[in-house]
Formats: sequence, structure tokens, C-alpha cells
Amino acid sequence: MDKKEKKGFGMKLTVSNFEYAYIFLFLFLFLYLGCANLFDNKISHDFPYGYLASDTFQHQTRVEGIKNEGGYNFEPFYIVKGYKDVVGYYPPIIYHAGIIFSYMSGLQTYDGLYFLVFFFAGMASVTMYFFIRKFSRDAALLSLPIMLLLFSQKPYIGFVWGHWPSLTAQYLLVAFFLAVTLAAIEYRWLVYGILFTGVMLSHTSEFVFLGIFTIIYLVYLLITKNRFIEELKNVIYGGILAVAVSAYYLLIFYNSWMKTQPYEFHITTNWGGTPILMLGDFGYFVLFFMMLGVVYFAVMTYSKKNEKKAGKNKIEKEENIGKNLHLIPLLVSAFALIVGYANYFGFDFRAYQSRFFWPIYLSALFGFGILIAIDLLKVRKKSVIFGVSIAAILLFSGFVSSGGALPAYSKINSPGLMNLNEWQSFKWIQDNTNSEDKIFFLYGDVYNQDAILRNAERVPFLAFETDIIDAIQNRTVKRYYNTEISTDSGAGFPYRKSAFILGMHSGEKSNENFNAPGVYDICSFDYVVFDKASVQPVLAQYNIIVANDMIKTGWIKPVYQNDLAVILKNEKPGVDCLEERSI
Amino acid sequence: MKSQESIVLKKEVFEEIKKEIKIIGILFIASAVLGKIIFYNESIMVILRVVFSLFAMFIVPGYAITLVMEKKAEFAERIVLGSALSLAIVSTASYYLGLSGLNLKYHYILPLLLILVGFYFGLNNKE
Repeated sequence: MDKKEKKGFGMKLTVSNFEYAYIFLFLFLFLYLGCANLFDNKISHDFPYGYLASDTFQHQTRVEGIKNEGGYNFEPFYIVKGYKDVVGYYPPIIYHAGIIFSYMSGLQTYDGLYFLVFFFAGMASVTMYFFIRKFSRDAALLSLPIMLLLFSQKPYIGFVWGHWPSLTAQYLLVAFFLAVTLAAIEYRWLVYGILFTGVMLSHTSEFVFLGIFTIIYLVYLLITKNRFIEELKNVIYGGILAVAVSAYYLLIFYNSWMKTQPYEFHITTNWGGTPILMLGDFGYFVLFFMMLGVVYFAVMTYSKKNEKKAGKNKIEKEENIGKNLHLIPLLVSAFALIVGYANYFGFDFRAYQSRFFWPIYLSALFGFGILIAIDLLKVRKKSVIFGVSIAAILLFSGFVSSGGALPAYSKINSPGLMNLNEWQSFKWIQDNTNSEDKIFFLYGDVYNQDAILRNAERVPFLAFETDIIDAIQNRTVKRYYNTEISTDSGAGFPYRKSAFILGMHSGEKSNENFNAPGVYDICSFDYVVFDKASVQPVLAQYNIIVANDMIKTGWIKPVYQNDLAVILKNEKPGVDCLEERSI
Repeated sequence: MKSQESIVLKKEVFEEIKKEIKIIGILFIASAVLGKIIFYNESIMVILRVVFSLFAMFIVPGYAITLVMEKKAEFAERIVLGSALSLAIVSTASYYLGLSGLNLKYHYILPLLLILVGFYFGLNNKE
């Protein structure tokens, strides 16, 4: 390593120091575009801010529940239909990180957890930078800008719609890419084992992806006759460590997710209403440079100048990545495409989740593509590299318009689904009702993103919106409603029968009627919650008519209200409280 | 003779670590400043606590544990890889401690433990 490199973050102004400052600034630009803009340039908020979909609330309510319980032995009961023995079945890494961060920073869990997701993504981009840098610092600098496309329209959905565990797992996956290039580290198997564990306990499907990459990597080592046996041992030892450490969770995973959602070969090409990132979304210019990146690796492989070219790159030479291992960035890109298109061989929407990270995974191709163009023009100088990198950052961040020729940052600045009034009504329920109380949600504009209702920390019963609309169209006041229970049923409600045997509440006959969706009597609930204002005023008017009729009984009273939400308490649940009538 | 060599080596290691800790300190200050710039609607106290927590949970423990395993990797690479390792170790340990009954509110101790373990074994390893 030359002297300049060794100084690292030293005080003297060297190319290395300038580079590090550049990366550091990039990280903050990344956070500025990704979360500062979304969060209204604040970190702490009075309510969950910037949450744009139900899944975000799924994680937010779960992390709050785990924090309240002090551990993740069981799922918070209000997430799982009221069962109190359902074991914690979601991969726990992000929740525990979020809670510790919340305690340390003083942030609410809803702010802390969300912020961490962006921080992890930022660290993933920096980690990818250092990974590419092992092969070429110039290419790494040119790869950085495209990573900002993580906040272009479609990948941004991964953040604001709540694919947080997947994003966290993919951050650790990128860290694994870096780890394989650090040939000099000791206890390599331990590093692998820790990262394998992290990925497995962050989002288990990414562990399968990690396995795919590891196989590709090992085959490459075998072909190039490079440290194959040594690395195979590291991977095996690391894998054994990861399985041993994760055994407790894996047992739960095996008895829940793997039974409710077993691998089945089928081809999917849609993801419900979720937009899917396609290669075409990068646009012709970016794809052109990515193709040039592939050409770069082809040239490096087949040209007799291979040695000479590699020699240009001091870092590769000095860090001893290994002879002929220059194709690893290409392997990462190939891997990203394989798993990104795994929807064609049975990985369903998990494949689409991996595409959220394409701007990071495929960045090396883009960087090397630009580099080969610069080499062809014979203008490879530090000033040119930094200049092009800065120009690309300006374009991808949208500070300078490309006139639609390039994809760019897509700004989102919205408080999201929650608002202060709804939040305060949920807090009131948390503080003033018993955990066993039955809460009925009539109509609210945001109730259809049903995980939001779990903020009441009670089992939420929700009237079908269509039922209410039918009542309005028929000009009737209804007492009985088709009702759903906002619940996370994906894992089948696993519970422990003995130390190693788990059952699932779903599908068990004795539990068929337990808080099951169906037709419910509004008079049977302890509390009725609704909005008195709506973007569709007729729905709010209906709520008010129902509420007024119920209040006439004398034993149903409004106990809380603000500008938006109203909560009625029923002193005699089960007693007739509403006469069905025409309006 | 051997102990003299050991003392010299130890001094060198301490000097190196001192220099790197100084850099972490500079990064901390720079992060607080940049954090305040991008989150300009936030109070400086919140920014400082958030930056402190990020460093205490990921950066410093990450740096400490890579003292054990690094030989030639650069400081910046160690910080980056170490942060990911710290996330995995702290959260996994927290998961199991929580299962065993130790309330999560005490788990802030985990990153601190990781720092101590990292420095202890790292220094011995380097010697």
C-alpha cells in the first residue's frame, strides 16, 4: 500500500483524503434525498411520519409491541388476532436494532426504525463503493452516482411501502460482497458466519439469495484455481455457525413460513398493485454504459493486456484479491439479475424485492462502463473521474435535469397515511382501554391500510367499506357489518406445543371461530371508532348518523373526540343499541 | 529483550489506534454538522443523540471488532464492514437476551460490550 493510501483519513490533503470526504458527503446527500426530504427535514415527529402503506405500520406496530414486552418471545397479541401464545415469527434483526437505537437516541420507535432503514441503505451504498474500489477506485467513484437511483420512483417504494427487513438483509448481503474481497482479514469464517446469521435473521429469503451468490463465487474460485478449498472451508464453517446461532428462529421459520408459503415452481409477472422495477426503467443511456461495463470485463478476461491493465490498479495489486479474480463485480451484477428474475423460477415477489437494490448491485457495471468510455477517450485523470462522478450525481439526484433521458431521484414529501388526530385517538385507546376490550372501526379514510389500526394495540375489527357504501346506497342505517380483523396471518399463527414442536392456530378446527372475520353486530363491541370527516363526506355523514343513533340509547357515550376521530364507549355491549332503519 | 520489543510494538499499536480514534471523533463532529444541515428542522440535541447512537451502535463497535480480524484492510473498509458486523452481532445477541428474559431497555449495553471485547482481543491480537 502506498503512503498516500495508508494515511487514510489523515490530516494531509491527499487524493485519498479527498476521496473519503467525497464518500462521506455522498452518504449525507443520500440521506438528504432519501429520508430528510421525506421526513420534512426532521428526525423526530409527533406521529409515524412518511408511512405510505400498510406494511410500514406492520413493522412499526410490531417493533412497538416488542419494545413494550421487553423481548420477542411472542407476537404482540393485537397483530395476531388476539392469540397470546403465538411465538415471534418474523426475522428479528431490524426490530431489535430499532429498539436499541430508540432507547439510545431517545427517538420514538416509529422514527428510529424508519431512519435506520435509510441509514442501512446509505451504508450499503458506501459498502458497495469499497467493494468496487477493491478492483478500481476510478470505477468505484463512477459507480456511486447511480446508487442514488435507489430513490427513483420504483425502488423508493421499498422504503415507503415497508420492505424494510428485505432492505436490511440486502445491506448485509452487500457487506458479504466486500468481505469476500478482503483477502487479508483473519477469522474469515467468523466474518462470514456473522454476516450469514445477520442475513438469515433479517429476511430469510435473502439468505437463499446469499446462497446463490456464494455458489457462483465458489464455482468461480474453482475455475480460476484460487483459494477454492480455503474459501469453501470458510463458507462451511461460517454456515455451520450461522445455522447454530439461528437455530431457535429457524425452527420457528420451518414450522410457520415454510409450511404456509412452501417453495412452489410457478411463474409470476405481477406483484399485486406494487410497481416492479424493470431493467428498462434505467433508460437507454444507463443500460448502454452497463453494457460497456460488461465489455470491460470481457476485455479484461480475454485480452492479453489483462496483467498490464490490472497492474494499473494499485489497490488490486496490493491487496491481493487474488489472481484473475477481477470478474467478481461482474458476478455480483450477474447474481443481481439472476435473483431479480427469479420470479420466473418460483421466487415470486421475493425476486421483485431484490430489484429494489439493483441500483446498488448493478452500479459496478455502470462505473466500469463509464470508465472504459473515459479510457477510450484517453482522458483518464483524477479530475476527470471526479468531474464525471459529480456531474452524474447532479443528474441522478435531479439537481440538474436530463430532460427525461436519465432516470432520477423522485422526491416524496408527504406525512403519509397517519395524521396527528388519528394518532392521538390511537394513543387514547392505548391509555384508556383494557387489552381485552373489543374495538370496532367503522369508517376512516386510512382504515383500508389496515395495519394502521394495530396502533390501537387492541385487536382491531374493521367494517367492510363496501358494506357501508351499500348501506348508503340503500339509504339504510345498518347494525350488522361484514367485518375483517386486521391481522398478520402469513405465518399461520405458530405456537409452541413443546420445545421442538410447533403448531399453527390457522387451520385448527378449535380455533375456527376465534376472532374470525364475518358478520358482526356493532352493538357487541366495547368501543366504536370512526372518522367524522372524510375526503368522501357522505361516508363521514353516515358515521355520524350511526353514532347519533347509538348515543340516543343513553349507555353509549362519546369518550374521546378531536377534529377528525370520535370514540364511543358502549357500557352495555351485546344489548340492542341500534335500530336498523332507512335514512 | 522480548519484553522491550513488546513494549515498542504495544506503543505503536496504541499510537495507531489513537490516531484512528481521533479520526472517528472528527467523523462524529462532521456527521453532527452535516446531520444538522440536512435535518435543518430538527433540534441540535436530537441530532447529537442520533449521531451518538449511530456511532455507539455501529461505527465504534464495528471498528473495535475489526481490530481483531484485520491485517491489511484499510481503516475505512474496516469501519464499513465492521458496521454491518455490529448490526448483526448486536441485534442477534439482543434477540436471544430478550428471549431469555432480559428486558430490551438494558440492551444498550451490548454495543459497549462489543467495543470492550473488540479492543481487548484486538490489542492482544496486534501484539
